[in-house]
Amino acid sequence: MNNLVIGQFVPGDGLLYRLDPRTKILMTIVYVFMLVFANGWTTYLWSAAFLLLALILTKQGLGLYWRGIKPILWLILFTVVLQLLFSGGTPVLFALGPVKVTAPGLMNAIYVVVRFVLIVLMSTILTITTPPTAIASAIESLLKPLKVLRVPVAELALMLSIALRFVPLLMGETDKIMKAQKSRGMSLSTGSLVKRAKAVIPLLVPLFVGALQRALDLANAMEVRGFESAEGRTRYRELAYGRDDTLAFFATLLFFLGFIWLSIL
Amino acid sequence: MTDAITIKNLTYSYPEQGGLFQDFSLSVKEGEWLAIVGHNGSGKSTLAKLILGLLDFEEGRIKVFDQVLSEQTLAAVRSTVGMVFQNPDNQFVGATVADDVAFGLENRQIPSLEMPAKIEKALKQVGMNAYADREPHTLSGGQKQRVAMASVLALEPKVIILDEATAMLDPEGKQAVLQNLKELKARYQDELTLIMITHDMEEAAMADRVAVIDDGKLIFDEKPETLFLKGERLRELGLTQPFAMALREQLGIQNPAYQTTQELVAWLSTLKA
Repeated sequence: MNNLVIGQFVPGDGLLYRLDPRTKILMTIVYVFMLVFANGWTTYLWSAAFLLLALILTKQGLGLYWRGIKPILWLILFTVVLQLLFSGGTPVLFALGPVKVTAPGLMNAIYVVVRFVLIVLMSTILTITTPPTAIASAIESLLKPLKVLRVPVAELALMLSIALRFVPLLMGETDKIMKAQKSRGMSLSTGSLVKRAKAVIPLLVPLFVGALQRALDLANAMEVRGFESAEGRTRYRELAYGRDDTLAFFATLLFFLGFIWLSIL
Repeated sequence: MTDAITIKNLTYSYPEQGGLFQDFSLSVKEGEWLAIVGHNGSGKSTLAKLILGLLDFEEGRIKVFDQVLSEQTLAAVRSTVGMVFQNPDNQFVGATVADDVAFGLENRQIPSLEMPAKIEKALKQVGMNAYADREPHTLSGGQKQRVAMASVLALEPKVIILDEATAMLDPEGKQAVLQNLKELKARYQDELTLIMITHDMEEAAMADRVAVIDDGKLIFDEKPETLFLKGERLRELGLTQPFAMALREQLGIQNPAYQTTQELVAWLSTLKA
């Protein structure tokens, strides 16, 4: 669990760390959205170049990103096999009985891998360079227009940041309960599927009871420290749009225009 | 001297288990260090929650300085009284140490620009300023409790209630928290009133006065020096004596005066000589 890089913040001092989290979220959204429309090797190359630039600007070692990719290698491999075997078309490169590997299938497989890796790397860059609190307040700020529709944006953002804060804690607790149940003879890895599913219940019940107790305690602690409503609080970490953000904006615009030009070429 | 907290004729029942406090009265002087002791379920933690308005009582009156606790004065009372809870994890709101201290300040609508100085000052008082950017799961229990104290201190309360704040800590973390409390008390003197809820008698011995509660009744309310001579009665209430006093009794030493561990050690070594 501790090797999981996706969703984890890694402190550093690259340029991307100094960007406003809102800029980074919007950049990531634009990037992922554009990738969906990539239609040939030029657009993929262009996207990869943009990603490489972002990677360099995080000033983090490539090993870190490799660790980000590793857990999903099997998923990538699986989609590659699917693409290779079931794309159809001609010409057939080689056939083994009814299984045919075709040229368009091969192309598709390569594109899928590239697209997958690019998307995962871009989101990894976002989470590696942005602490969860910053992501939560950026989301709050970006969703502000929804306040008109009476969506409780401030409450949602606070909930999100508290949820993020409790993830490691609950993970540790799950681990502890699992060990406690295992020491009493529970097994999650043997028996039929039904049996295994049933074995999860004695794991979930104490976890939920514990989580509820924590929630009650936390509510008390928050109230005592003067919490009344998520609205109308001041902020310790103010989001500030700076010169670097303008730079990032133009870089993204350049990427966007270049992408469109390449895809209609 | 004025009273920091006055509880008068308080009546409170648990929602399901029934009566706890019946006509309960207790007052704490400004600048005093009071320990409230009692066995599990004696009502000592409930009392803390009542003072902070986390539970509603049926009858009686709780006064914090000149504010009578009510729906209207709740916010004012909570800005005067801070509380540190038992579980270090369940009171950590922020994602980092600094964010956690900031949480209370944000609630009080302190301008963003003033926050860093206040956070720094509060963390310094508990010796945690080097950890400002750390996430809670990288801290020990004792460190988390010190952050919880800093979070309370940042709000500059006149009264701090510690509800078994050291109960879940290892001996080292416990010592650090207690040492910190002593330093704070020495720094603020009469400007800080401490109420320490505990079942650890060594801790209670640090206080100026000890209130013993049993099933919602105030049994003793006196100085630790006199209270801890009542070994037999304390055991009946499910409590113990501090180590030095228990040892002295076991040794069969007849000495009418209260002694701390150091004092007993000093006294015993004079015997040898």
